[in-house]
Amino acid sequence: MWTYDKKLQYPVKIARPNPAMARLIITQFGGPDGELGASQRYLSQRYSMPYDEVKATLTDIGTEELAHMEMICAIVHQLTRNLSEKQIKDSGFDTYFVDHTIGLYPTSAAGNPWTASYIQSKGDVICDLTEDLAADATKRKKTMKVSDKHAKKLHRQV
Amino acid sequence: MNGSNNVSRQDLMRQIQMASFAVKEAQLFLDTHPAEKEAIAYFNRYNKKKKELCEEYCRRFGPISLKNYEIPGDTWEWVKGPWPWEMEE
Repeated sequence: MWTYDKKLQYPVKIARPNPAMARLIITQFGGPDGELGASQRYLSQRYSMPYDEVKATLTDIGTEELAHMEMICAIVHQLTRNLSEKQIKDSGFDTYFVDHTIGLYPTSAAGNPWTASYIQSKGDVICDLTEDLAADATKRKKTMKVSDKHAKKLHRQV
Repeated sequence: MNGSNNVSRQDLMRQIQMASFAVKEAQLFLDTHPAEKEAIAYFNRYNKKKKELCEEYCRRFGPISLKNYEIPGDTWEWVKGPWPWEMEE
């Protein structure tokens, strides 16, 4: 079971809303390499793991990914506060806004809804741990790809 | 990382976040090194720190966790904001 701690793992404080940035950051919530997928990947794989150390690690990392998800959602939430109609249209956030307004919906930056096909769980220790290594590498890769300076700063903080 | 009644809510939360991060990292390390003495001592040190800070926070600003929580008055303070994702003005 799980319990909730009423705190973020790391503080999120974004003074200036930026809906264009929110559209990119949201992929770290519900995109192919996002935190939702990460949490479900580890928490699904742990049941068939044959070693206690790996069961513990997947349980604790999977749990931590949920805390990462909360920070990403806090970032997106704060980036989309108090938007004017003009800001919504000019930033390109309108294509998200028309379906979800400022609700947090797990989606990729391109608008594809989160799907379990982003993860794998095979019941085989080598297979699953290899998938986990690949998943971990995608995060680093993506952090480098986000070219905007502000986004880089955000990613470092995540 | 010394808790005191003069510390602001935000600063106290930062101290809790720092201690929690240390505890979490030690926890993950211990998952694969369960008999590492240094890590065990490190975990114990910061988990104690975290517990003390969380108790102080709970006394002054309301609960972070409901584990071992006893409602002190006649109000369910858990519902009281700001919630963690809300930016404080």
